[in-house]
Amino acid sequence: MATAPRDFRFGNFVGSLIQLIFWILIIVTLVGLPLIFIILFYVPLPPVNGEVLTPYLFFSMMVDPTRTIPIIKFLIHTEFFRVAVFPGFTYAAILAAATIFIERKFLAKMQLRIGPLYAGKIEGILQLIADGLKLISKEIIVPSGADKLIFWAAPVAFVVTAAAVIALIPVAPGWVVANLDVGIIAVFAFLGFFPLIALLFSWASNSKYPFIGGLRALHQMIAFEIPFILSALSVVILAGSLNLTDITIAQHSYWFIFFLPISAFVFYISSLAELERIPFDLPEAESEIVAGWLTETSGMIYGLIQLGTYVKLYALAALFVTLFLGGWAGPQIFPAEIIPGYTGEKIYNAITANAIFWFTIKTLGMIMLILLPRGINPRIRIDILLHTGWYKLIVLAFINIFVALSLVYGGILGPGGLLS
Amino acid sequence: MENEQRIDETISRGLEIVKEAEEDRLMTLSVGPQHPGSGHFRFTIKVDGDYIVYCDPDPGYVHRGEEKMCEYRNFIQNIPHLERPVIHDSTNITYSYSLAVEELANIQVPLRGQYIRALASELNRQVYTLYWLGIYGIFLGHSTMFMWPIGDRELFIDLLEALTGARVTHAFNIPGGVRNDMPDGFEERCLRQVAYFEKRLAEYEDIFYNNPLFRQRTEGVGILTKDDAIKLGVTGSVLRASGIPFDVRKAEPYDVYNEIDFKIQYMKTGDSYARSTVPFLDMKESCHIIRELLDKMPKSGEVRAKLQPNPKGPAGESYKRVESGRGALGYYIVSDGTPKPYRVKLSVGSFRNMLALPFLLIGSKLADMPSIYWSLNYWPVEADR
Repeated sequence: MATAPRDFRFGNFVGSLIQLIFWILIIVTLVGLPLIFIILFYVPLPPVNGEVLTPYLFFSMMVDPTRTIPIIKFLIHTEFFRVAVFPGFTYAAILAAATIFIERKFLAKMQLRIGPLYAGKIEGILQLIADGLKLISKEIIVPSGADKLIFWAAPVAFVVTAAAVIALIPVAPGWVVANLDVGIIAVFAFLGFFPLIALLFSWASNSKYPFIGGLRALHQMIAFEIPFILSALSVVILAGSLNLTDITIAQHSYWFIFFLPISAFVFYISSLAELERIPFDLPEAESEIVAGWLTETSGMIYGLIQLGTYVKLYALAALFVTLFLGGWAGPQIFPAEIIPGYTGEKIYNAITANAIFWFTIKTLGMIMLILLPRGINPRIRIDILLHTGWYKLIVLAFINIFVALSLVYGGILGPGGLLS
Repeated sequence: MENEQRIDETISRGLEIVKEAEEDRLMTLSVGPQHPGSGHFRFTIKVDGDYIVYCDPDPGYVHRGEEKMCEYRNFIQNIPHLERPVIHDSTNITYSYSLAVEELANIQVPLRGQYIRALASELNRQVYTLYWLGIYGIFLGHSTMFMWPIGDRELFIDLLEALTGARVTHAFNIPGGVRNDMPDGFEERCLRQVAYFEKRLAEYEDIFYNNPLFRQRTEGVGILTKDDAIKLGVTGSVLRASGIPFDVRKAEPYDVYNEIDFKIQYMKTGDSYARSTVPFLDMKESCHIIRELLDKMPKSGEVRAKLQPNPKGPAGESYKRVESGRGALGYYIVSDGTPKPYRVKLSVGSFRNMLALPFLLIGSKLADMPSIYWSLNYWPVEADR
């Protein structure tokens, strides 16, 4: 209920606005611009198109679009841009934020609710920012007797590990932070850190419920790691490479999900368990062990772990897309040129734009599929979970490895096969 | 295994394990009162790995002295505070009180009043059971099963609000009948709502009761055999889930229930699945009862007997019980001839069902704790009174 103050005068309001703009102008011209000049003077800027970037040149580029394009082009090909913006952390974090919003709205529709509504006027679109601000402003309570170092380090390590996974995933041809030849092994190596972090954090909390939750997380993640790796192995057999980019390119004519549906299913179930999502959210089972290994988290420590969880969700959805749904492959829908007849320097590349578009669409679809079980399933019990992980899924994954091998040795797929 | 043992043996075996265990082997967990899975109630459990070896229920956090409060108020004044223990089943908890006072003061309730009472009681049973089912859903991590019943409960609350004027604490049943007659068009609204609700119940069955994960978690968990159920003295849906078709509405029909034709819903397995399904079947049966009550109800007439301002009866005692959402709910009232009761004893189903908790928990897994605990149809505030 926003109401005007009792002694509200429109004239005063306009007057204060004018005053504000006046002071902003004064401060920007007297302090801001000189500061920018000083920084630009001392920072050695790279030469672009054979010209050394001076502050004067920088400002002339800001007003002339044809001169801006080279500098943007230069920036987006730096290593920093790849790590920090695209396809690195910012892209993943934006998709993760979108995931949280989609999850809340999607789940609300399933449960005959409305979901976030007020923040941001339109369907609560700014709810996430409100939540983030709330988490930042809250006090972080460290339990007495906690192992301070691990308690502070574990949430950061969680986000960093999740971000390390996304560095390995190719989003578009040539757009990958680290194009490793052992990409898929590196992914599983990074995923192997998560149970360790969960256990360390739960132990550092010095509390009973987190400890039980941490042990459950350890059991669960280790039980599902093997079917997880085995299901990815059948893809490696078909593609003949451990490199994720090569695996994507190997699917340019046929997606592997058509040949390896069981493997895709095992991978999907294992990623649900890896992400601790319902029905596999035992480490956070509220009615049994309060909030599991997150019981003692507060403020931004909780926020960081949540961010890490959703970045991890994006990473696993993207990994599923890369392994089974052909990665960036999709029909060309973007035109070759935006402005016909333009001959100058250009950033736009139809193939890359298309690849990014299809990859994002597929990943969002996969994220929705990962969110879906939360609305329809109760939590599973630990003995059933371990039975599922160690027995059923491993058998299924092995069956699929034989399918993959027969496809390769039958000369249907794989290097030099009929369909590749 | 543990269900074949006798009750005393199970509990003493748990105590022995606790006594003999090495230091630091058992972990003591306090479930409640600030635990999200307990309510206003605490039970201490000791776990050996994933198995519960010891359980000590500790009720009393919301003891308000309802019985003592009754002695300082007259028979009518007692109504509003007596429904506080179970505000979402308030019509049933005042129902047996009204019956007991009527027997004591020899008041005859008009027939239409009796029917409206039974109708309000059945509507309130739906409200209570839906609330219970919602909590059961979220206890098992099924968030949709939390939202759906709580949403549908709202519709019954609206009905009861139209009937009584209040959303949850109705104070509708009073000695001598009900406070007021039904509003115009209430019958059609009620029938429409029941028809809609029966469709929803089928959806509940699809998403929750037939869900393989739910069945895996509850079937064969916390089995309470017929003999143990009798020995422990459990009541209501817990008793019926153990294969004993006992319902106060059939066993000791009060008011108009002997004119209503309905079946007692019971199951034979006595596990968590049966205990969680019996209230659901009760809701289905309750829909039929509501239809039948509306059908057989006299279309006009008094709903409330004329009473003197401070009703009092001769010195004496009375005991009456009704079937509430949690089982038999009885009042034993002693009067010394004054307008205030000399002694009121409230016998509630929750407390009886809680007695089965340590017996069922010992030997079960920690993950089964919420499904056993809440399937006992226990409401901590009512047990504390």
